[in-house]
Amino acid sequence: MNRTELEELLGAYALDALEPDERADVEAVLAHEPDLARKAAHLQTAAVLLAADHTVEPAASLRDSAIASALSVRVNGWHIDNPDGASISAADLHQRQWDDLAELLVTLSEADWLATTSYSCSVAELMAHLSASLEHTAHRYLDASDFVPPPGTEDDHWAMTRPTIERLLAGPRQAIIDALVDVNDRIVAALPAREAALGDISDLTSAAVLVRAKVFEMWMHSDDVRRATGREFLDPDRDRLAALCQLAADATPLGMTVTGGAAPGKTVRLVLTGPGGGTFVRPMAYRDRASGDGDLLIVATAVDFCRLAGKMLDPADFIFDAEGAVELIDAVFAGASTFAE
Amino acid sequence: VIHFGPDDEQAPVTQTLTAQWPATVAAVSQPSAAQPRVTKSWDATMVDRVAAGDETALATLYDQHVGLLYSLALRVTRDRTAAEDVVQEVFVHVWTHPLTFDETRGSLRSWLGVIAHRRAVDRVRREAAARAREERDHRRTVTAPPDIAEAAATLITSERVREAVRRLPADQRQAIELAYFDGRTFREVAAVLEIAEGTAKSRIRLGLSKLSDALQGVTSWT
Repeated sequence: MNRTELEELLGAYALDALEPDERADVEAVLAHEPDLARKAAHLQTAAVLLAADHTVEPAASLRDSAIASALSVRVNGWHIDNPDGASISAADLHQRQWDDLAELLVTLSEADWLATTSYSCSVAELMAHLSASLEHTAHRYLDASDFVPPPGTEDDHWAMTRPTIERLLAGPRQAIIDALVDVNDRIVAALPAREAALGDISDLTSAAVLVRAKVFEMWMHSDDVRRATGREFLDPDRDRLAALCQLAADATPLGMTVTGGAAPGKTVRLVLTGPGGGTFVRPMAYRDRASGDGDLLIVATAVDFCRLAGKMLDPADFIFDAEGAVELIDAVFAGASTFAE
Repeated sequence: VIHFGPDDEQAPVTQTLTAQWPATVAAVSQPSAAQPRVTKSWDATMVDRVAAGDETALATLYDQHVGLLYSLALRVTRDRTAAEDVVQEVFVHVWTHPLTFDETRGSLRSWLGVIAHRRAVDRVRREAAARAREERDHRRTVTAPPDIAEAAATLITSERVREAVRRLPADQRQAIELAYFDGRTFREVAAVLEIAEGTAKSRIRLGLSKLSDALQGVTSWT
């Protein structure tokens, strides 16, 4: 079919007045001819406008049946366009995040290792800190490390890592990478057998949740290294984003209570768009119950919301739509960021 | 819906943690400085929400567009039950394949209308293969809605559409109506009008192009 023949058929195509095989032929061409596709779309719009001359409302009962029919094809609580977001093991989640960081670390120059992060420490210090932080997780939850926090530092996330930082900074940069490789290998190896014993991820106080939340820390520090060394940020894949969205959304009620922003009786509807996204209807206070469609609607991309929850994104830079009880937005964001504390 | 974000949406997202090591990152948990800003495309937002599994967004789309979709399906199928089935199919499609909407090719309303029409036409053609045309025509007569004109009068753009259609040459208008509202192929239109297939094809294309030009400004509706 040449272009002239196709253009002659566009009118009939727009009116659905072609045989199925002709329609397929036209669509095959339009897929590679954006200007013709736009022209066809204009004609289709004009055709649809013809119906404006005669509008009739259907029976009211159709609303419920049509929407119920659509919702019935939802898969595992996730939208059918996001089937991969249904589940990912803790080991896989951790491994994928570590793989991204490992690929970054081997590209760093000495100047990069000395670059200043947002914590006013060097990239080398930050990565040494991360290795100790991961050792602590491996020790505390997975019995996969002999890491012992210095006395009196158990509740100080940074102070407990100081001896490790000093030791690793005294050696070559490769020693930091080796330490990270070693601890991540042990965590990933230990997780499959231990994950079930760590508790239910629906229980926010379970070790299972805390171990998964370490991925936020790895991602947060990875982005920080990228920023400090002039590299572009790297978004996690949709599986990870789905898991992180779930964590952040689930943490929001508890986080709002912990941060003093709880709104008992209120419900937030978080609509997180793009890869790994989903819709999360959550109460605005710990142990409260979500009800209705939500008092506050927040629509944002999944990746931005996760960056906000991981405190990698300033609320002032966060792009989102909101409707309803907008005065509660800040409290929701503070609650969602609980894991980053 | 209020849109929040930085003044310059194109500005690179920057890390703004300011706490001094080894302090915590609590510095960014200060109250949000987010400010309302220009709203982005409603269509794009609604599709994003549906893609994220937001049932309330689907319900909103239903409320906004069902009148058009049902009317369109009814005009083609001439059967209330069939039209309801078409509407249902449209919303299942929207729910399961929202990301097939391409904003650069037209509005969400237009996209929904195209889906509804195609489903309705496919249904009519399936039925035509199974039943005698006369039988279906009889049913049309029985089930045609009695209040079409009154309902149409409520649409702001309907008069403009009517005027545009009235201005079409009769032969082009007839070819378009036979194809669009009777679900006929251009070959069937040619047979009904006893004209050459090429002529039917041309009348449809020319007429629709004129309609498209005449209705260019009706963007608020589409």
